[in-house]
Formats: sequence, C-alpha cells, structure tokens
Amino acid sequence: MGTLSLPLRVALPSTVAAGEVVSLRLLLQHPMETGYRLGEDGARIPRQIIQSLRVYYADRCLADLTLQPAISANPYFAFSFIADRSGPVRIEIQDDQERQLTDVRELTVVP
Amino acid sequence: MFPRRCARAGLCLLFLSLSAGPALSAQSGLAYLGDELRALQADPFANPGLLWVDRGEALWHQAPPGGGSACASCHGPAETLAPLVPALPRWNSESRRLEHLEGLIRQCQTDQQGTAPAPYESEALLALTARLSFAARGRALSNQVAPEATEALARGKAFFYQQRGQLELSCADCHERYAGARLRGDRVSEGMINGFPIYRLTWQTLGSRHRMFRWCNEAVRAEPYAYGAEPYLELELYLRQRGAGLPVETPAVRR
Ligand code: HEC
Ligand code: HEC
Repeated sequence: MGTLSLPLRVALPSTVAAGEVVSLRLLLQHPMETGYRLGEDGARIPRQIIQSLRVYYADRCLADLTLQPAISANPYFAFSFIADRSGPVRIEIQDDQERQLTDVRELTVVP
Repeated sequence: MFPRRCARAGLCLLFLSLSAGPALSAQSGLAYLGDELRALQADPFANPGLLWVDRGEALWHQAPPGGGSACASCHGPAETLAPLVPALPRWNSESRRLEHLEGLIRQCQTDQQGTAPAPYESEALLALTARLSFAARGRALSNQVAPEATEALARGKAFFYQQRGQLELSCADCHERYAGARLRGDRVSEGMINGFPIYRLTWQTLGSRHRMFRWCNEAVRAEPYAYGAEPYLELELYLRQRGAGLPVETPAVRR
C-alpha cells in the first residue's frame, strides 16, 4: 500500500480529565473528484476520492466511515468521545488508489 | 436573468431600493455572507483556507531543490513581511512597473533561490501568498500610491468603470449599483480584495485575485487577461485604494 501525503489539520487536546467529552476535528485537503466532471480541455477528470476514514482510540475503533464521491472537496469531520484512559488516537485515511495516511496523537487522561 | 441596464423602470426601482449607488464606506465581502459562511471564515480550525496557510508555512521553511536557501533563512519568520502585504500592488521605480505579491514571490524564487518560479495559481504559489497575507491579517489596506503610479491607477479605475463583454457590464455595474442584490444564488458584494487568496465554495479551492478578475470577466462573456497581466495589476492597484482601510482577512471564505 502506498503512502498518501496530504495536508491534514487535526484538533485534539493533549490532556483531558477522565470522563470528559473530547472533541476531535479533522480537516483534509483533497479534491474529492467525482469522476464525472469535465476539465477545461473537455476530457473527463479521473475519479479521485478518499475512500475510508477510520479513527482508533487506545486500540478501539471509534469510527469507520466509507466516503462517497458526493462529499465536497476538502472535507471536514468532527467526532466526540468520552476519555477513559490514556492512549494514542490514530487516524487512518485511505484513498481509492490504495494509498494510506496515518496520523497518531497521544491523549493523556488525568484522573 | 440579471437585468441589463435597468431596461424596465420597475426593475430600476427595485435595485435602487436595494442599494442606492456606491456605499458610503467600503464593506468587506464578509458583510455580504450568510451566518454559516461567516462562522466558517472565523473558525480558526475549520476555515479550509488554513490548509494552504499551513502548507505555505511549511514551504516558507523548506529549502528548494537544487541547493538554494529557504525563504525563512533570508527573511526570518513570515510575519516580517506582514507590513508589505496591505501596500501591494506597489510601484517599482527601477523596473517602472507595478508589482503584486505573487510577482514578488516568483521573482524571489528566480533571483534568490535559483529555481523556476511557481506557476500562477499553483498550489505552491497560492500557499505562499496565503501564508504571507495571513501574516498581515487585521492590517488595513493602504491608500498610498506612488506619484509615478498615478497613471496606472487611473487606468485601473477606468477598467473598473468600463462596460465589457457581450453583456456590456462594468465591474461597477455589479459591485456598486447592484451590491447587495442576488445573482444566481450569490449576493453580489462590493468586489473588495481584502480577503485574498479566498477559499471559494464555487471553486472548491483557494483562488487568487486575478483568478477572480478572470471569473468576473468571463461572467459577462468578456475575454479574460492572463494572470499577472498589466491591466489586472492596474485594476488590483485601484481596488486596493478603493478598499483602503479594510482589514486583510485572508483566508476569506466566499460562496
Ligand atoms: C455580472 C456581475 C459581475 C460583474 C460585471 C463583475 N463581477 Fe465581480 N463578482 C460577481 C459575483 C457574483 C461575485 C461573487 C459574489 C461576491 O463576492 O460579490 C463576484 C466577486 C468579486 C470579487 C470577490 C469579492 C470578495 O469579497 O472576495 C472581486 C474582487 C470582484 N468580483 C471583482 C470584480 C471586478 C474587478 C470586475 C470587473 C472586471 C467584476 N468583479 C465584475 C459578479 C460580477
Ligand atoms: C537568498 C536570500 C533570499 C531567499 C532565499 C528569498 N528571498 Fe525574498 N528577498 C530577498 C531579498 C534580498 C529581497 C529584496 C530584493 C530587492 O529589494 O530587490 C527579497 C524580497 C522579497 C519580497 C519583497 C519584500 C519587500 O519588502 O519588498 C518578498 C515578498 C519575498 N522576497 C518573498 C520571498 C519568498 C516567498 C521566498 C521563498 C520562496 C523568498 N523570498 C526567498 C532575499 C531572499
């Protein structure tokens, strides 16, 4: 599997109190090309979309999304979850050319 | 369809009641946005234009291929160029030409970094333009125009008021007379340039001032000029002066 290199913005606090609702926000630069549009030369622009987005927290899967071509370019996602233990928050993004981007952030939970 | 030259008196009255000629003081395009887009522009995380600002910051610190120096190694932090941005375009008395931000960046890439200049509207040029303009956020567009640029300024203004294209509409027809009116789902703003490069939902990407001029020219079925062309630099100069006092709000979000 190839690696995907895209600008990604991740907003996640680094330290939270146990039991707190944590918000994770993602903004991804991607054209989300549907494959139906015509370019300036009249030729069809090949389809290029993000196919899946998965979020893991301390090795549990928090979200497993399959994305559709209808999603607009540069998509934004927001998740919330309850912090119960320290651990990595891992974001895995895969496009339709089997390229993958992984971003890992540590979340520290204080009692 | 958009009324041409107020052919019917009724339409004329309608538009007059919406907007009676030029506004008393310049208003940013922000003032013409709905609540949702205003909130998106103000969001320090989710404003999509910030993706380019981030990339611009990375490029600013990155040495170009071929052994040249990074922008930062000569200029320091991007913020050091902040005072420059609201005063562009400006007159260069040596070359006796106007220069705008994109042109200065490209010139530095050629002369100082020894690389090919990033093409207009490329991701790299948009990112660097966005990063430097972002550094100037909140600074007021300057009304200073060098005496040598008086003629260029006058040509820019004439461009703004000249009717063109198959629809025979001038920039002022839309952005002064009909500012505030609705046109194909858009609310027409005053055509200010303080938010550029802007993230435009119609484009689903970031775009430069000259891309906007090209779009507006094509909207009236007029032949657009090339990026960086003299008439667009003169127009840009006039628009900077016309919007003097407005704060830089890059990256603005627009419909
Ligand atoms: C047919 C009407 C029309 C004409 C003529 C026209 N524009 Fe526009 N312009 C629009 C529309 C619609 C938009 C998008 C909505 C908005 O921001 O006003 C726009 C947007 C803009 C913006 C972006 C404003 C912002 O806040 O980001 C600028 C700058 C601009 N136009 C400049 C010009 C210039 C310069 C000309 C003349 C070359 C021109 N326009 C002619 C309709 C027009
Ligand atoms: C080797 C040093 C060097 C590097 C690298 C360099 N610059 Fe410059 N830059 C200069 C010098 C010197 C000037 C002033 C040139 C002049 O006045 O003719 C300048 C001028 C500028 C200006 C106009 C500033 C003003 O106040 O007039 C901009 C904008 C600029 N550079 C952007 C960049 C960007 C963006 C990069 C990276 C892509 C870059 N520069 C890389 C040395 C450098």
